[in-house]
Amino acid sequence: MINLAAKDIQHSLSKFLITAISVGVLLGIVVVMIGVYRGMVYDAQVFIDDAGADIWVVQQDTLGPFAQTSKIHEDLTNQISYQDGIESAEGITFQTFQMENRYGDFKVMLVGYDPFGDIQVIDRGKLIAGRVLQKQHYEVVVSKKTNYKLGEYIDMGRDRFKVVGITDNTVSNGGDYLIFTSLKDAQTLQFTYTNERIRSDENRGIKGGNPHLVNAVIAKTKEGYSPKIVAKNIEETTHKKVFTNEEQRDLLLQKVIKKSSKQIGMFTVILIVVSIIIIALIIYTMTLEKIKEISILKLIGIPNFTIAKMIIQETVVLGVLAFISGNIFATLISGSFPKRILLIPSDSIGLFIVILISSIFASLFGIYKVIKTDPAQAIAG
Amino acid sequence: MYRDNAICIENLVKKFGSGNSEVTVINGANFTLKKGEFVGLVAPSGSGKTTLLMMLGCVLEPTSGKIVIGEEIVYDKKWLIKDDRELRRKKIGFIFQAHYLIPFLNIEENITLLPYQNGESKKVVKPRVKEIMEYLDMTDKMENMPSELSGGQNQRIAIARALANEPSIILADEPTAALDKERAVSVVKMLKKITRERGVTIIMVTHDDRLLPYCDKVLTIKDKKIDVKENNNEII
Repeated sequence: MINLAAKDIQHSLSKFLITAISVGVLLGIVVVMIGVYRGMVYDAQVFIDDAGADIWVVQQDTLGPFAQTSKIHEDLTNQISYQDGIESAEGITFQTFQMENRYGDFKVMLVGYDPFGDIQVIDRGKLIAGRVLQKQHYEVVVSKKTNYKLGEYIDMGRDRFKVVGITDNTVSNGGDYLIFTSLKDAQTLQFTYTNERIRSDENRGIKGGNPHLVNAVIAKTKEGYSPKIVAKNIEETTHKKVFTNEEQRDLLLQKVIKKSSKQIGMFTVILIVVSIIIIALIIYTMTLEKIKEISILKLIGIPNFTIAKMIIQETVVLGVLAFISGNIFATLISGSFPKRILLIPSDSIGLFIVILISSIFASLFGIYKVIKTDPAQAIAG
Repeated sequence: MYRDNAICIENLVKKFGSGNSEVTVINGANFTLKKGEFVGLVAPSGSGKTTLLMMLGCVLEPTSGKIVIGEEIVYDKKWLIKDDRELRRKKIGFIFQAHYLIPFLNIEENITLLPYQNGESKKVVKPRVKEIMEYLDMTDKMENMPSELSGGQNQRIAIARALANEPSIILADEPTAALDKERAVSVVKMLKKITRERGVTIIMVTHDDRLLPYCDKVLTIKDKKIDVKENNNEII
């Protein structure tokens, strides 16, 4: 038995390949969109995974420090350290910062932590050059993507910081690069005002600002203690809001990036629908282009099943080639995006199954055309 | 009753449209063709030649009447066959004005498509196709694509395709129209030879009166009826 689909594809191979690659590019964009979403979810969790805290203590009645602004006194760290079930606690600050260097301008999230504290928020596995902070002042560890080099100086606020370490794969929940300074330096940058501001505040009767604030206190629980119970106890005794690490993770995923992920999800669904419509149109057009041959085949006695099989086989081959080229395209361009694109094989395979099933359904338009084609059309004009 | 007949039609009527726009093309046609006859079908343009061929090929449904192919009554006021395409695939061959070969199949595939579709094995089909191609003097073109052959060569391949499923009838709609006189005569001689040597009945639509002497019978559509004339001046 002659495989009509294989023969037809072979006959117009270049045209078929160009069509498949074009559809593949479209599918590649869908894969990238899914990758953007995955990257967003991944980025949202990078810092809380790296910090490895069990408990997050933040300002009362807030969802801080990521979903809402939170400011608490630094000395709360000591109070929490002595709570039952707590092994260690450290104050931490977060501040978004617009920076500029010779490679361009970019947004970073500056994390302040105690370099000599019990909880170290830099994952040493991600340190690709230099070292972590070893001084209380004027040292900074930066993300590789900021393009700063070891030993380079960065001006922030009224001070100059030396780059002592470079990390890879460290981003904030918003996908901005992370840079780390000591808690003291970070507090100065965030909570100490300029002389002009201090004078202006004094004229208004406002006494000088308090630099001894942190955005959150993170703590580790002792072995055998449930973070949830410890968190509840702290909440009752300190009048602060306390989240377990899992609750903080849920907050990030459910509140902070929910709308963005919905937006991307909607866009992805629209792209998938558009892709299916385009594939359906291509299959239908490919069928129309062969309508003369189809009517001849019908006239000489080839059954509809054989002709429909040819169309479905061509659809499947088109889908497979588009899937392969789409994934190659997505892999090639994913590195060029400023934020993380996380390509997961299971997403591609899922998309492939959706596209393949939809394409086969879409090919029903072509098959319907085959069934409706009058064999007598073969000899008409 | 129909043992020696290839085709028999009785009171065949074909009308298009309905009401005021109804047009009768064939009105009560009757004729019988024997096995192995080479029959010419002539009539002015638009008088129903192709319509008649399409009805005989079970492509177009008549309005009324009876069509018998071989010993099988295929139409008697309604279709009596379950699968018209199976009938065409197994019993009828088609040759058209243009070759209408499938452009994405090579010559061998174009010819073997129907026998393979009929479930015949390579063992049976290969020698038969080889024999047909030798008969048509086209053995060296098996691997070529239709686009690589001339019009005349493709028309011979179209004849080979029509013969490949060993049909009892070949319906040829102006098979020589696109050819010059010399080639047209050559094709007609070949068709005549096929009827003689293979016992196939061929109905050939033609506008070329010069080809009619080669026919055993000439069917003429006149006043929506079909006139059958025996040709006594056989040329071969």
